[in-house]
Amino acid sequence: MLTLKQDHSELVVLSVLAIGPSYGYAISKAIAARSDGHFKLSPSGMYPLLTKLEKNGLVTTSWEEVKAAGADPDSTGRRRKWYTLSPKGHKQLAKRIELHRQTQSIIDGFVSQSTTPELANG
Amino acid sequence: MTKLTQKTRIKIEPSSRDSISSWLDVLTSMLAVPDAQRAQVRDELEDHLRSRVDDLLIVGKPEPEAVQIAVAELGETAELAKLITHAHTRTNPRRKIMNATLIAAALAGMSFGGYTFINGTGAPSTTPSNGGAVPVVVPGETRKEIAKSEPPTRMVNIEDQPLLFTFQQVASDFGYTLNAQSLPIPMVRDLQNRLVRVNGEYTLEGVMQYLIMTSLQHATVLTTEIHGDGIELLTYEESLRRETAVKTYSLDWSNFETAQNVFHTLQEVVGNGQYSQFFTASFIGDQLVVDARPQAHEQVENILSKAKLAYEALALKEKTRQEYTIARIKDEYERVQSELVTVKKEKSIEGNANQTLRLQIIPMRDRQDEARKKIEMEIVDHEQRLNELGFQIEELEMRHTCLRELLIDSEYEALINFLETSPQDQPSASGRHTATISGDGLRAGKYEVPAGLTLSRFIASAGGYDAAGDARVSLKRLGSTRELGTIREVVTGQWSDIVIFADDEIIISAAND
Repeated sequence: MLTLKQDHSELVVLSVLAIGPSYGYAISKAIAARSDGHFKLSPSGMYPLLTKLEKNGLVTTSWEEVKAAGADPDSTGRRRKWYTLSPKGHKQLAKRIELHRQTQSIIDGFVSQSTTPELANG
Repeated sequence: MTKLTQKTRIKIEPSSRDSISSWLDVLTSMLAVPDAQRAQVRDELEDHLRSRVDDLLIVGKPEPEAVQIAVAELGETAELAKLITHAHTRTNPRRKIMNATLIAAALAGMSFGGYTFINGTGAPSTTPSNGGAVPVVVPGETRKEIAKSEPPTRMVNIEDQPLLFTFQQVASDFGYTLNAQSLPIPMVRDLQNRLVRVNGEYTLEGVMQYLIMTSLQHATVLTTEIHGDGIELLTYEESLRRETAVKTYSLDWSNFETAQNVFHTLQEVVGNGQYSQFFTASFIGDQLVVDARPQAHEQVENILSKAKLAYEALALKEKTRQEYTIARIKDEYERVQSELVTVKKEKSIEGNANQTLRLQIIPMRDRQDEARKKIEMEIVDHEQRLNELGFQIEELEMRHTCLRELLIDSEYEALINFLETSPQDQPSASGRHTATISGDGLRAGKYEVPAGLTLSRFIASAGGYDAAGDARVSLKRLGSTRELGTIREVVTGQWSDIVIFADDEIIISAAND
């Protein structure tokens, strides 16, 4: 399993939120699921990142009361914080994707040049 | 002021708390963020942990193990607290450099690498740590000694030994003796039965945190405190209990009702809040006695300070309202008093005229001419008018008495005595008496004034206020002097209709006096 670097974490979290609103634990599960378990964003990386995104206006937040299955209907449940990608967040995601593609393209150029001789020889 | 005489005592028992709540207590106590943000971080992490535990239970993990895994996945507690605090307090890069310098300077005075401790005032403070999930608590006295150097490390190699024995062995390796006397017996038994394996180079704090982590499946989190050359192993709950202190807060600024409201607010907010453990509040007289943790005391102080401000604002508003009402009653009282004097005077004149007509008609008793009929008609008119005036006086006297009582009930008794006149000072039957004007601005001297003359008319007759409108007027009556305002205010304002009584003295002083 690969642990996501901070630079990639923001891109990945924004991408998850682009699909729809989500909350911390669900985001971490979504990242693991969509990467077939290859990527893991630890809580100590994710929650500070979500706070940063919120402070920068890239996401908006709301709270929901969640009750465990079979809990007393009159009891108070725990609180869940939902994150939604803001219009500014959508723009930021578009920029990050573009930057990622450019970087990917440049790196692909290096990789293909260095592997071509081997392939030719092989 | 009404004092609270009965004694009310409500004890808020600590709620049953599981490992997750205890761990969250530890984490949130390490966050250097405002209370509102702290509560939100706690809620969010609690949701994360419980969601994770639910998932692990579904795949068949026993609950204690599920909790242990979920907590362990969050990483090292102090590091997580540091990262979250940093994210919440993140500022622009330039300021960040300044803040980093300030924080480093502050931390240098209160902490050392990796250790978390309770400071001298009992408030928890934290620094980054390098292993484990719960803080090692070090008393203030040992702070300087340890801060002198980097914490030493030792090779620890213990294979499948009971947890309690391992705690003792590790403490001994680092030159300390272990004391676990305050732990509940079932927990001691469990620590004796649980085997643990430790292998590696550790600091004392690091290995203690590792051992504490392995005991997380207990309902209560363990922690340690260093006292001299001894390490005490105790429950986190017990360490919190030791932080508690009794403080007395005076509520002598409040009335009974406000004090009750404050007490209920404290129960609601502090008694059910984040720091409700060990919170006890009692009323004795007008003193509030609180036994609680330092954070709860802070909340109490905050609530009392706000309640006091709110109470003072309310009291001021009520006082203003009362003063306004009293001012209106006073105006009405003076108006009625003046009208009463006027009506009595009119009745007196009417009575005199009637008496004159009755004397005139006596020699005409054998006549039946028009002149006698005319006088008889006039007498009837006068009698009717006298009756009307009698009713009017009766009504005015009732109003006068009622208003007087209202004013006496208020704080204006002295004013009433000042404004009232004694029977011998009532206008004379002749309808004239003497009053004096002294000072500058008007023609000074002793005046013979008609009964019922008002102050404004008296001033007008003594020269008016056009030339000296800003000169100040005082009224001396029955040995007391009261300043009424400028001549202009007196003539046009509430004092204009005051009736001049015998021996009144109007004192005029220049505006620049």
